[in-house]
Amino acid sequence: MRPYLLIFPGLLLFLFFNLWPIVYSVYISFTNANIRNFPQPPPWAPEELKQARPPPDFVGLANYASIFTGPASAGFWNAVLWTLVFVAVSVPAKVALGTFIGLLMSSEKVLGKSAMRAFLIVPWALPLILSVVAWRYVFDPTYGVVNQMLYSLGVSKPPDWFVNKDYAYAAMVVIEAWLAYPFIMTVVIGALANVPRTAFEAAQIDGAGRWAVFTRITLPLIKRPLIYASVMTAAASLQFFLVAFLWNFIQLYDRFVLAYGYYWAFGSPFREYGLAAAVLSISALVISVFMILAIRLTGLMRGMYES
Amino acid sequence: MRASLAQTSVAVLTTFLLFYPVLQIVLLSLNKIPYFRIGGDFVPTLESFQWVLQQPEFWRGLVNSLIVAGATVVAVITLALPGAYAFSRYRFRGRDPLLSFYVVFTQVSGGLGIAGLIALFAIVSALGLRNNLLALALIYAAGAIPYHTWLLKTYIDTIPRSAEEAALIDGAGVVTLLFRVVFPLMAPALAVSAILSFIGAWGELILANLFLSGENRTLILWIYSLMSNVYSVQWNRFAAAALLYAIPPVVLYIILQRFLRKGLAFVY
Repeated sequence: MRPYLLIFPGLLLFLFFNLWPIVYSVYISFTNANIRNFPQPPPWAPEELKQARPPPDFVGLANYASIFTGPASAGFWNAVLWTLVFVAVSVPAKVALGTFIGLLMSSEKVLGKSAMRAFLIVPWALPLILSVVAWRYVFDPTYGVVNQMLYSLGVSKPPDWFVNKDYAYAAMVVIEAWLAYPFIMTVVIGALANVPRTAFEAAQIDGAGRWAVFTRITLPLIKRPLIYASVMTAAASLQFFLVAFLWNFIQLYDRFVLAYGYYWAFGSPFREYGLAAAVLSISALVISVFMILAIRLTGLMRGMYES
Repeated sequence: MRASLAQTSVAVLTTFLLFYPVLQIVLLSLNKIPYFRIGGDFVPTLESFQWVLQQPEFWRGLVNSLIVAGATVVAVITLALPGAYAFSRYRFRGRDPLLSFYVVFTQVSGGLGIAGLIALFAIVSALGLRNNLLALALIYAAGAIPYHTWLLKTYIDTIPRSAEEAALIDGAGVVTLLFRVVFPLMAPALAVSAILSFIGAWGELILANLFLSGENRTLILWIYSLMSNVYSVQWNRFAAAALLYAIPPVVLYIILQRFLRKGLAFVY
């Protein structure tokens, strides 16, 4: 009995506040929950308040019909498509940037690496909201360094990175790459740290060029860790939400699935909770399936039962 | 191999470019005029920070954030540690599936957290726990339990059992055993766990924004509200507010790195 008693308090709290809401959200997705009937008042609320707010009705698959083929479908499929584009664009950007810096920071020929690493790790250490504040200033239409550079390059009317949907979306890719490169960099540095230097020296003595050393020695060494890091970071791109929320939600809510679900529940005056729950349930399902496949494929769980 | 000027220059330039957004926000916060650009006017002053420290919202938010984050730390450790001990020291039915479930959940908690948001909103409303700082801390702790149980379990695995066995022979009960023998040995892991749960609670925005209002708003919500009407706040003041907000988690992150260097590399 003892181990169960030790585990239960934490487990119960977790189940109640984390797992139960997910199950309950799936149920809400089959109802017409909206601003008039949801959320229900607490049990001790006055009787007339309870009567004024009858509980939501069961509507079957109506919400799913709406997001797949009905009125909300245009926005939903748009968000799905742009989320996938985001994964397809941001993952190579993150991995390329992180690998490039990781290789530089592993190179014998670079001086002052430990000092530079301290600066390079900063995006990882900062609270997200400060990073977004910093990038807001970089992209500020008037004062930002991006538009000032564009201006001095002869672009007479540089874009507004907040109000224009496509430019705001492009800014999301840049920021996500910046937020994630420390992770990829660390993985690459770690993978190359254990390699005996003699392997590279021997190859050079044998007359291998730089490219050959890279493709024959470096790449095979970092391939497995890099695949693992790419899968993990793809999951992060799939769940991208907070930066868009902080950037300019009104322009970006229909570019990311989670944002689209949030929009229908809390981000708009409509407050269609049932519809939003349907969007978010589908998202949760896709994210879970992706993660389970990723864990199977990358062997994340290997060695878990060793102790 | 000899150092290469070309490679070093590329590395320095890349580091500078990637650090530039942060550098510029720091210089902006210290500038007398509300904007900053390279080659532009720079008149260093602490006026923006003084402005922040004069805002009642800043202090109220700070106190609320400290309450929420502190309560989260206490709840995470009191709830995750006993579970971690059980996972490490006992063999029982359901152990391995539950442990795997905890680890998998850790990876998807972000997206699934948003997915459960609507129901959580209903549950918290039905319990009358909206706008309650301690209830919010309990929700944060609930979400952190899988990760921290796993983290602490991994550390307990490295502690030899001999000390516990000696205490058991002396007739100690499980509670005495935990408090007298196990916890003191775990100080570094508990510190790591406390730091991570503090940083998590300090930086959480979505739930705080949904549940807290008025006097109970945390510091991040104040930064967020400044952000939402960025055209009415001067940029240098806004930058100073965001930087002051970021100091506690960044300091804790640096302390965390020192723990990790001492061999607690199990976190990542």
